[in-house]
Amino acid sequence: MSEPKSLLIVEDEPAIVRFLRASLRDHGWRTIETSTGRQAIELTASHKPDAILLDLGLPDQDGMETLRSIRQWTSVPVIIISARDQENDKVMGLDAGADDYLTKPFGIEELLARLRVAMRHRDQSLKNDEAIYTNGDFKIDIAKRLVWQSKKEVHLSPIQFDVLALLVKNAGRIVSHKLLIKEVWGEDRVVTPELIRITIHQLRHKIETDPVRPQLLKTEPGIGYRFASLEKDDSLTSA
Amino acid sequence: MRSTNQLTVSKMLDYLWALIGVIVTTLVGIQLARLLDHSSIVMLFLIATTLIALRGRYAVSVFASLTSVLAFNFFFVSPLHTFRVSDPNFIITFIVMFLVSILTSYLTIRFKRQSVLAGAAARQASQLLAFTQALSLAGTIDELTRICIIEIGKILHKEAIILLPGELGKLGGSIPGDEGAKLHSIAEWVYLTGTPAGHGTTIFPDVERSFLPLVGSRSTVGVLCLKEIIEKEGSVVDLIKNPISLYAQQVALAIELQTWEASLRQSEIETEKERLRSGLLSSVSHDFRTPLTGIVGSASTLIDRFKKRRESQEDLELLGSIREEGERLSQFVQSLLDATRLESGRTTLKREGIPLEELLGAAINRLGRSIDRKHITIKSEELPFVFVDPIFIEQVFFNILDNAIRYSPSDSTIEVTSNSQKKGWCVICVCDQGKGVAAADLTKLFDKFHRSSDSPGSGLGLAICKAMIAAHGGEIWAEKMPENGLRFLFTLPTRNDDSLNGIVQS
Repeated sequence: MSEPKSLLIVEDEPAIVRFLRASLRDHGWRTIETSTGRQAIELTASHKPDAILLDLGLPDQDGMETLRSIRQWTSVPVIIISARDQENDKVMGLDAGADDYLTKPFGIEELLARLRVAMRHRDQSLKNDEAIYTNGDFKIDIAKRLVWQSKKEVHLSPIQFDVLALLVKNAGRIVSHKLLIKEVWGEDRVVTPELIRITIHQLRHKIETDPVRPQLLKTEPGIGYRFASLEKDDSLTSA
Repeated sequence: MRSTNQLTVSKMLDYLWALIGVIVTTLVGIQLARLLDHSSIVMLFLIATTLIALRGRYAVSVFASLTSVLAFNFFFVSPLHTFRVSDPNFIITFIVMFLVSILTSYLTIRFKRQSVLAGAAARQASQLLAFTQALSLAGTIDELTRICIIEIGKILHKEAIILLPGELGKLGGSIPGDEGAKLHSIAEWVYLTGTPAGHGTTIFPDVERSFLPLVGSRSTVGVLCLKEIIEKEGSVVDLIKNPISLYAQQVALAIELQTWEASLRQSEIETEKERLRSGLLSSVSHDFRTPLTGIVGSASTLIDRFKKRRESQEDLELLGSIREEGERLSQFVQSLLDATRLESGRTTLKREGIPLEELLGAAINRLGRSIDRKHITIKSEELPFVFVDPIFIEQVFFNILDNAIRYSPSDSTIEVTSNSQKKGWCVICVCDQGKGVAAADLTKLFDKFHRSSDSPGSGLGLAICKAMIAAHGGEIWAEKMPENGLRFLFTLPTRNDDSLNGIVQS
């Protein structure tokens, strides 16, 4: 893309805004900045940013409220910034439509990784034809419902495959427990958290080389799961 | 004995007064004998006996009536100065005089007694009212018992001790004297059974004190222990005993009210304290995290730029230090917040059934950089399915592994194993190959801010683990390995059973 992508930074701490602005500029982003939720909503409407970075602790209104207002009329990727012990805020943010979150304090590479995934996910939802993903020895063909580990085919139950496929399609992004239940089992079904845990456990033992130290399917305690990014290794050529 | 003597003296005085009364009437009668006839003189004697009856004793009245009749006969009826009677009409006069005198005395005494009783009842009611009012002025339980002891001493002339329940539902307080312990056990019995005992009852009647249960609206709130200060003369006032049980009831209600007020005040204080604490926590967490985010973020931006420009390695290392120290400080702030929150006792567990392996994996994932830096291998066998708060137990693994990695030599192994000895529980063991600690320090490891001299840690991590495991009803301890190294063991519930909370593993 010739035109630089634009990012709306909603943050009231000058020191944080300063380093965000500097590093994002280095990586080809244009930044729009504001410290209030109300202005953030206006700027989203007028400037149509490619992504939004939203701190939940704003001086004028609750960041969650800002997020809900924005989500009423746009699906622009939103990454929220929150503290480690505020799992509830993160879950609420994801439920309210945030794409991902960053935990304070964070390094610039984490932010860039989240942004890359968010942008790719937005582009992918436009052209949904990539059916084969790989990461090291792991390979999955979503269309044909096939999975390989170290060149050997792995047999998964239908539910196991559906869970894996959802995580793979969202590779690099957080998938909350709620989203997982909604997408795999359907909203109407009553699914105990234990069932999800066991399914993930079984999946790990089938696709991870070391299930104790998972490299592909990572847990974010209290929130959900994140599949390792597939961006470097994904390939469009069929195996 | 003293009171009996007093009684006799007062009786003798009454007889003396009666005698003097009759003598005076006789003398007056002799002076007026020439002016008055016999019937008027009889009237004089009747006035005298009525006045004597006002002293309030039947026996004295009978004595006065009798002496009056004798005096009338001796001094006024002919033949004078003998007890002989010449006119038989006078026999009737004597009988009528005696009967009228006795009857008037009886009525007078009865009237007087009733008025005294009425007075006593009124006084008693006002005393009880004053007592209740005095109790209501107390602001604390201590003040209440003090006022109560003073008032009971004043009104009932009794030495009072109030025993209130102490810890573990047992009766607290103490009773002075050689037999204090024995009396206290009687008091305890009274407290448990709610039955009066001691002096004046059929249970332990030999002791000098009496024990009354203080029965509130719901339960026995304490025991009132009483001892007479002085035995009072058995005057008419005592005919209506001041009903001690009425006083005991007032005391019990006052204590109950005071306890309720105190617990209400306490819960208000607790709420306010909790509000302040959580306010302080969130502002501390904000005030620390915001600058740390700026530091870590700015350092990472500069590292990113320096790498691109291929700046000197030394500068990169310095920036790396800023970043890592910033992250460490942030972790320390997090630990402090965790510890404060756990200490407040207000944390609620969100238990879920979860494979323990998942939590171990999440902790290892977070520790990735330091594990790789020291080339540490983490081995684990099949781990059980547990019912725990995932966030807490992930943090427990994080803290224990963080500690183990810090003390492990490079290229060593940390092993995680489990076994289930007791139904519903499993024991998790994390073994490292570090240099271990002295046996004496094994228990101190879990103390807050305990740290060995060469440790870079905060001294909070393991204390937090202990609190988090305890919140699940489990236990955590450390053992020295036969060769090198240390192993941490902790228990976790493998069943979804809330009743397991608080069970201490042996």
